[in-house]
This record gives sequence, structure tokens and C-alpha cells, in this order.
Amino acid sequence: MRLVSRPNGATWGAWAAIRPRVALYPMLGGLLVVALLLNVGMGAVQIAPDQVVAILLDRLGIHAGIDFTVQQENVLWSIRLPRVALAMIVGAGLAMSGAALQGIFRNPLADPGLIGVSSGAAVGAIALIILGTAPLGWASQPLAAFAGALAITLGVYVLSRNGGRTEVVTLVLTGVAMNAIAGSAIGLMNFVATDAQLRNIVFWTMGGLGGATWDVVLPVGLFSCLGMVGLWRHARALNLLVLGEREAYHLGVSTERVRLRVIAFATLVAGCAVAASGIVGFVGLVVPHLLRLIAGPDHRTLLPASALGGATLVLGADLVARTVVMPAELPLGIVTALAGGPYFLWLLRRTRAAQGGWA
Amino acid sequence: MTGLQAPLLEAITVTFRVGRQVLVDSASLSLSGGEVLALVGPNGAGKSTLLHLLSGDLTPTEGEVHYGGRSIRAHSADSLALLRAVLPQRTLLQFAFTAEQVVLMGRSPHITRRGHESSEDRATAIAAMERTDTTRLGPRSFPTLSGGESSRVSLARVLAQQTPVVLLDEPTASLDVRHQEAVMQTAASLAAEGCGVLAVLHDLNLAAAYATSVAVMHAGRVAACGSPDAVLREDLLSEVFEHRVRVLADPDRACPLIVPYRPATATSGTITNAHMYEEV
Repeated sequence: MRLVSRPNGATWGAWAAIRPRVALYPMLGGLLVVALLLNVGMGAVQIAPDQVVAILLDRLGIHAGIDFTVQQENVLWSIRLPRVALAMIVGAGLAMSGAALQGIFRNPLADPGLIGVSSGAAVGAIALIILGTAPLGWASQPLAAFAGALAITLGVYVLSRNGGRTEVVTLVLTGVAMNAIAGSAIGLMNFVATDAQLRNIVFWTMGGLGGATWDVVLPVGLFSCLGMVGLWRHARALNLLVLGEREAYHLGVSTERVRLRVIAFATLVAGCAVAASGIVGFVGLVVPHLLRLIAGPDHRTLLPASALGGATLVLGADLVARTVVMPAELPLGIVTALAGGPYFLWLLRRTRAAQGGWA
Repeated sequence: MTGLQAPLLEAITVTFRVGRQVLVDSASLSLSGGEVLALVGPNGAGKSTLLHLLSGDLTPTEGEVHYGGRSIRAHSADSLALLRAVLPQRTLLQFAFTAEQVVLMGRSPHITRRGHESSEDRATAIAAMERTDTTRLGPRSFPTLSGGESSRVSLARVLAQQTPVVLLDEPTASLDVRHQEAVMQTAASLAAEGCGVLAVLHDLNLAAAYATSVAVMHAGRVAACGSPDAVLREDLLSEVFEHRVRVLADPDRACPLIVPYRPATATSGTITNAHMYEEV
């Protein structure tokens, strides 16, 4: 018996049980704060961390006695802060919706991009640009992106299910097909767009957080937070769904209702992110996966941890995008894809070696 | 508590059709507290389908399933989860939950909407793991467990759910002899505590030894239902399984012992047959 049992199994498990509560949140929180300070301070106009604090306190009417210029204050308040806020919303939203979708689809490959959330949101947002209206005011862009994302994602979900099961290969291939359809819709809209609209579309599609203003950040942040709270409330049901659909039902989960709600919330959150920042790939795949390795698969921990980790990752990526080719700026999506693509390949090979691939 | 009370679980002329195919044909069963009901029959007889109908996974085309005298349709998913627990044939898990976490999931129906498991829930889960000999596996990642280990952990999860009705779909299929016996003894002790246990079994001898009643399914119908002695008869089993069986008396206890009929020359005959097929 001793020889066949795994010698380090017990210690690993005990460690895994304690570790998340002791170290995970402080670690993620610390990383997030570091990323925040770096992002806020670095760029064409440098602002030291103590100056950041002083400017913020100054806004509250407290004078800390640390010198800063008016230019620094304006850059921080009008450019840097909305930008980091948007980076955090986008990162947290993509990572959390990725984690939730992976739980719903019961496989670690279900990235919001793969199952069509991103392209669906793009269809919605671009359609709005083409129509040139904003019928719902500031809520128009996020809601249009959400509607597009929901339509495509539900399409993928319904078409890839068979007898209550979703095989990975079918899921991925259905995603490919639906993404292609969405892509052709986008192409068609580009074709009929006027020159001015086309410039808007290209600007939007390239992604990036350059357009971040408080006018964009507040509505997107509001909807995104609603969706994230909604997802977190279903964390325990997600754990049971990962066990199996029937098992979840046997344990009291109304599976169909929970699944639709989670897809709707995940799509809202990811759709908001895409509406605000364009297509930022791989965050929803990489972050939950890394955190699952560190903190285990329990969604009650995984979902908030993914939000923190995603926010940190996008802040870091945006810092790279802003500073590597200064004064020019790389599109954010390129940076995340450059980091996430190789990770995804490594993940594929590792899983294949471990269990002979996904069936 | 009394004989007048409705049975814990009842199937009333339940029929399930897929297209023109009738998978379960007007099957009736009832399960009371203290009972271990074994559901046996050849492959494709409809045992698992009937279990899915009883658990609520499938909705009967005709007929009704009742829990405590109320139709299953009148129960919500969460109230049903307090009434019956189900051990599936196998549980496939893509994510590395530990065995302990999986067992704790069995406590879910008892946890208020957004709360976490209490220390009582943990104690119940630990007791369930002791009862299924899986304490040692607690910290292991569930997807790395062998078939037998994971099915015992799943059984612990079912026990942790603490429901009056326990439905077991081939609970002994991937277990060695010791654990087969242990699982059936657990089923018997659950019944002794007042639960009603229904188990789909392939091993007729386990049914004979541990069941208080046996239902034999054949072509979607319940061909016979009653005490093991009354149902596990040579003529009935030979007909249903389309293979001659002999029913002997167990030398150690008063229950039937079922042995497939194997003619003395069977071994050499099989080889000759295989050889003949190869040449053709």
C-alpha cells in the first residue's frame, strides 16, 4: 500500500487547504497595489508614489506637505486614474467570467474569446457605431456589446450541447464557427461603414485603454460590478456543477436556471470589458488557470481571486503597452496575446502529457 | 413510523419512451424505510433508466414517481436534495477538487443559501469518509483517484447528504471483494437506521446476501419483485438472463447462492470455437 500511494499527497493537500486563506488574498492584494502605483506613476509625466497619495489627499482637502505640479495633478486625475480603473474593470471582468465559464462548461478551455463572447460583443458595439445612435445614452455601448455577446454565446452553448453534455472538441469547433460568422458580420459592417465610422471601428477594434475617461469608466464599471456580484453569488452552485450536471441536480441545484444565469452574468461582465477596451485576449483563460493551480478549484475562492489577479495582469500588460515603445503605445490586446498565447500552448502540451489530451 | 405511512419512494406504472423505443415499461416499485431493494437484470433491461426516473433526472412519459406520497414534480430541486441522494455510476471531474472537498459537497443541501460549511457539516463529512474507508484519500486530488477509490469517495459524498432515500447505481462495479462487501454492509446499516436504499446491482450474490427485497427487470418491465428467496429462482433467472444458472444454498447463511451453469467441457469448447472463428 505504502509503495503505491503518493508520498507527498497528504502534505500537498494539507498545504492546499490552509494556503489560500493565509497567503492568497494578501499576495494578490499586494501585487495589485504595486501594479497600481507603477501604472499611476510611470509614463511621460512621472509621479512618485508619495506624490500620488498627496494629490489624492489634496482632493479630499488634506494637505500632506508633499510637492506636486498642476500638470501632475491633471495627468493623474484625468488620464492615469480612469485608465487604471478601466484596466482593473476589464481585467477583473475577463478573468472572473473566464473562471465562471470554465466551471459551467466543465472544462478549463472555455475562454470568453473562444466561445464567442468577444466577437459577439464586437458585433454589438460596431453595430451601434454604424447605426450612429445611442438610444440608451451612456448605457448604450455596454448594453449593445452585452446583447451581441449573449446572442453569440448562447448560440455556441445551444449548438455544442448534446444530451445534456458539452464535449470540448464540439465546443471549440462551434466556437470557431460562430466566431467566423461574427467575423463576417463585422466585415460586412466595415464594408458599409462611412470613412468616419470606419476610423471609429478600427480604433475600437484595436483595443487598448487609451480612450479611458470617467464617462466610459463609470457605466462600464457599474454593469461589470453587477455581473461580478451575480457570478460570485453562484460560486457554490458552480462547484457542484463542476462535479457533473446530474450530481449538481441531485445536490439541489436547479441546473438549467443556474447555468443560464451564470452565462448571462459572465457575458455581461466580459461584454462590458470588450465594449470598453476592445478585444483583450487570453486574460480569461490564463488567470483562472494559474489561480486554480495556486488556490485550488473552489469557486468561492477562485472567482474573487481571479478578479484580483485579472486586474493585476491587465494593469501590468497596460504598463508594458504604454512604456515599451514610448512615446507611442502598443495595443493592449497584442501584449496580452503575446504573453497568453505561449502559456496556452504550454498548457495544451502539459495537459496532453498528463491525461492524453481532452476528449 | 407506522405501516400506514406512505412509502419513502414509490414508482407508479412508470413508462419512459425515447421515440418508439420503450426503455421502461409500466414499472411499479415501492421503497420503505429499513429496506434494501436490489434492482437486477441483464444489460439494457432498463435498470439505470428506471433509477434516473426515480431520482428525477428523467421525467416519465407516463406514470408518476412519489416521494413521501407527494409527486416528484411538486418538489423543487433543493427540497428533493434533502429527500434522496444518488450515487452515479461514475463521476468525472476535470478540476482538482480534493476528495475531502467532494465529500463536503454532499452537505450542500443543508447549507443555507450563501453560507459556508459549518463544523457540524465537516464532522458529518469526516464520519462519512470513515464509514467508506476513504479518510486516507481525503487530501488527494479527486481526478487522480482510481475508479474504485473515486466511487468510494462518491459514496461518502452520498452518505454526507444524510437523506432518507439513497439510490445507488452499480455501487460495487469497480470495487474489489473487500470493498464490495463493505459497501453493501454500509447499505444494510443505512437501512437499519431507517433509510430506504435502492441499489442497481450486477452481482446477483450481493443482491441475495444483502437485499431485503429484489426486483428483476427484463426488457423494461419489472419481471418479479419480492424477497430474495422468492425472486432469485433458477427458472426465472435463467429465462431473464438467457443463460442457465443454478441456485444453491449458501453454506454460511440462509440466502441463495447463484452460480452460472458451466458445463465441464466449457473451457476447451470456447477455445475450439474461437479457433474456428479465426479460420473463417
